[in-house]
Amino acid sequence: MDLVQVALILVAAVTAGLAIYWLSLSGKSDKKPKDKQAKKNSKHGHSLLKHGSSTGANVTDAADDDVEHLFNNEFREELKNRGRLHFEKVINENAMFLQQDLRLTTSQLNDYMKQEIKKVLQEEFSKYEESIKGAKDLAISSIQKTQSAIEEQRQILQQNLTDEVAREKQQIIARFERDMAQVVNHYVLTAIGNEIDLTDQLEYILQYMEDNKEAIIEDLRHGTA
Amino acid sequence: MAQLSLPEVVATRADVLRLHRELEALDRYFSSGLQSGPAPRVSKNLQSIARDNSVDLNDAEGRESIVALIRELKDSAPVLHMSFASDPPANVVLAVVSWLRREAHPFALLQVGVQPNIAGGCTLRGTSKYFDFSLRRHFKDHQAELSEAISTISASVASEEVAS
Repeated sequence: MDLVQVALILVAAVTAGLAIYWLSLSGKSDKKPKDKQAKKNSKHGHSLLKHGSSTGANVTDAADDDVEHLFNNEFREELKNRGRLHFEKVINENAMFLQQDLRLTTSQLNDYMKQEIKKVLQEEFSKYEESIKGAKDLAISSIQKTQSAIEEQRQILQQNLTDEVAREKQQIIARFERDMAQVVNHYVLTAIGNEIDLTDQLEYILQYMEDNKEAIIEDLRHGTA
Repeated sequence: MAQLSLPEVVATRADVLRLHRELEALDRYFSSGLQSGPAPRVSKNLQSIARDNSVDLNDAEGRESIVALIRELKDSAPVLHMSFASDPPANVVLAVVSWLRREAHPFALLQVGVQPNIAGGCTLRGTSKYFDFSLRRHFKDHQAELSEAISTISASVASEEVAS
């Protein structure tokens, strides 16, 4: 919209310049024929006066002379100067307007570009954020699944370990109870083996032999037979 | 078997072998006809057997009867292997031999051994039988009761731990 206005202003300025230039050219070209015509008319008037023609013709000649007198070269130069100044003024004003429009256009263009860039960036950031959010959700889900699996495995391992420890404990206790009697026997035998006097045991030894007398006698007889 | 008695001091087969060597030395001494040198030493066991059987060791016939007895003991006397936890004192050996000759066989001999792992009592091994009168055997026979007692104590300790 602004560019169109700028273009119209430029076209108007160029058109005005061309018009002024044409006017100046046309002024120069009309000067000589008019002078010639005036001189001719003057001469013709003089001839008419001389020859005694009508009064209307004299008025026209007089008007022409006045025109020549009014729009002489100085006046035309003055008009040119005024036109030039006016043109410069118009040009300056238009340049100022153009500059203002350019500034405004630049400002608007900057705003527009800012808005567009902001919009594009926001869209891209939104997509990026959505992508990150999706990846984050996926990672969280994966981590939660992993944690769940680890927790399940931990519970299974803990249960197995507890069962194994209990079983091992029972085995150790059973083995301890089974072997403890043997350990105690061995300990007592080792501890008191050298402390018992055989003289004190003699009564018991003879009692055992008496209890097994028949078997001993039979064995001895069997050996001597 | 000769009609001689065997004193209880002659208890082991080693004693019999030792008596046999002494009698052979005496025979060699008297048969040589040279009694000028010192006479062989006569042990208490030989003196005891001569005294108990009223045999004069200077008499060749008497010595011959004892030699016959000793030879017969070497060949056919029943030997009972008896093991103790430690070396038995002489009174124990004498008491055991006295019982054996009184109750089982008049010429029974002992062969004494030592087995420290039996702790107490003794073991007897005859010709074909084995008798275990040791403290080890006694403990082993009652090991089940000891195991049961230990199990009871362990159970009570475990229940106290759980309660605490």
